[in-house]
Amino acid sequence: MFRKVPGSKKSRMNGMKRKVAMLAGAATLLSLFLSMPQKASAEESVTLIRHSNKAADYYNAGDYGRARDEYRTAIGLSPKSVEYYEGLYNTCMHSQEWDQVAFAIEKIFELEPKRQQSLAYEYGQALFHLNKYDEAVPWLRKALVQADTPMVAFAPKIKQIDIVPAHPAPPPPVEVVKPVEIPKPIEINPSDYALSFDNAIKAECIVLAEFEGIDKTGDIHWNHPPLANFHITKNLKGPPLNKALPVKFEFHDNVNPSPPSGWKFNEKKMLPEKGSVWILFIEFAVPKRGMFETFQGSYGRQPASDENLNNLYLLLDKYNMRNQNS
Amino acid sequence: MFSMINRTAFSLALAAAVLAGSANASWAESALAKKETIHRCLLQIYVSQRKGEAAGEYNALLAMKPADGQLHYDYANFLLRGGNNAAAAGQYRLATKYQPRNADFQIGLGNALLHAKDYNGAVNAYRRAVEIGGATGTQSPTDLLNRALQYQQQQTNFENYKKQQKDNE
Repeated sequence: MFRKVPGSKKSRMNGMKRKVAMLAGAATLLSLFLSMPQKASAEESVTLIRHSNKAADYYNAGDYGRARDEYRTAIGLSPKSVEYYEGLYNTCMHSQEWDQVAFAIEKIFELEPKRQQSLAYEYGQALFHLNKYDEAVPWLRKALVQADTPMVAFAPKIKQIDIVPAHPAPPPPVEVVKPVEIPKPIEINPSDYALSFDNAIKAECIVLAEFEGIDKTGDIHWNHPPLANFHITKNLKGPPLNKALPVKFEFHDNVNPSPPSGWKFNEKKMLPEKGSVWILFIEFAVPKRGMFETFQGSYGRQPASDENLNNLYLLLDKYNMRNQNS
Repeated sequence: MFSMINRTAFSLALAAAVLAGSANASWAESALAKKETIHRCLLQIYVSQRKGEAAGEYNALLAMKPADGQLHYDYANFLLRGGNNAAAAGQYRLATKYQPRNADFQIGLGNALLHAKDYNGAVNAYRRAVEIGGATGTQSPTDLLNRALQYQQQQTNFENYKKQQKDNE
């Protein structure tokens, strides 16, 4: 098999056998090379993971427009991964881009036909919003049958990138923290918020209203007043509001916000009689959380006594603020 | 020794990952909310395409939310458009029962009663609408009340006339 090299202890392969051995060696090397992961595909998966992670971050931050773009990029890189289509349809359900929802779910059905049952609700809704009523009805009916099946909400996954970069990233620049400037409090002339009719008539809306009762749902505290229902009998100043007026029934004015010791809500003592008439100074004629707020809390709710009404009419006429038909 | 440490670290990491996952995953839309959405979608489809099936969806929604005044009002409007005055009046009554201070609901009730020739009932409903105020529709409650009062007057006159005729006989 081997011939001795003259003058040495090494053996030498003969011509044919050497060629065979070389071919076998080359084949082994080639198979080893092919079995190793390629550098390019590794880079591609890193890009994909980066886009997927960005999409998840944007989704969690509620930035659905950017999350959608990232998911679409991820789908472009890996068109057969169901998870990116899932991300896309969940994102677009939030942003109500129903064509995207329908597209993503149709792709999921192509890749995993078994998911047709579990995604019937989402697909039916998408078709409904795309005005494809005839197609939507069977899906919605299917969804109705299995509506009681509990489902876990979509939560995008953040993946770890386990690849050590060839060139370590430079350390981030040290940020110089500037001392925070405390804004100066806005100076308000104390006479502007004093508890007086002179200030109260500056409210956007002034009405005479009958007290009808309070909404007793929820706890009632000193700082958590109930919703009181009033019925407007006369609109003295401001825009014509709906006669049914929900008002935040404050227990204190804004000058004395601390509760008296041992304060406890007592419906009989603290609420006015039903049907009693009140002057309501509504500072802004726009409800906040479904309730209109009165000027300086409880001060903006004055009984419609003759004295109060006389004072009010005098001031309104003095400054020519009264509505014409009041 | 090393493999044991590795295994412990791995199991800890796995537990942490599961915990993090469960903290992120919130439960999806409740079954009730889902059903309501589906019924509302189907209702809209049926109202626009297959009116015969819409009543079923209204009933399904009302079974889920029996005290929803707006829903009763919508159903009543649907029934009134279909010419079912009596059923419409019933639904308007329920709407006004759950939201008595809504002028639009009172006007709806008045309209249904007027169609059913119950002029006294219509007058009462329109009067309540005028008292409440703030109707959002195109019809003025005062005009409707005046018209219903005219009908009521005519009906009274007709009944008196019939009575007189009977007495004369």
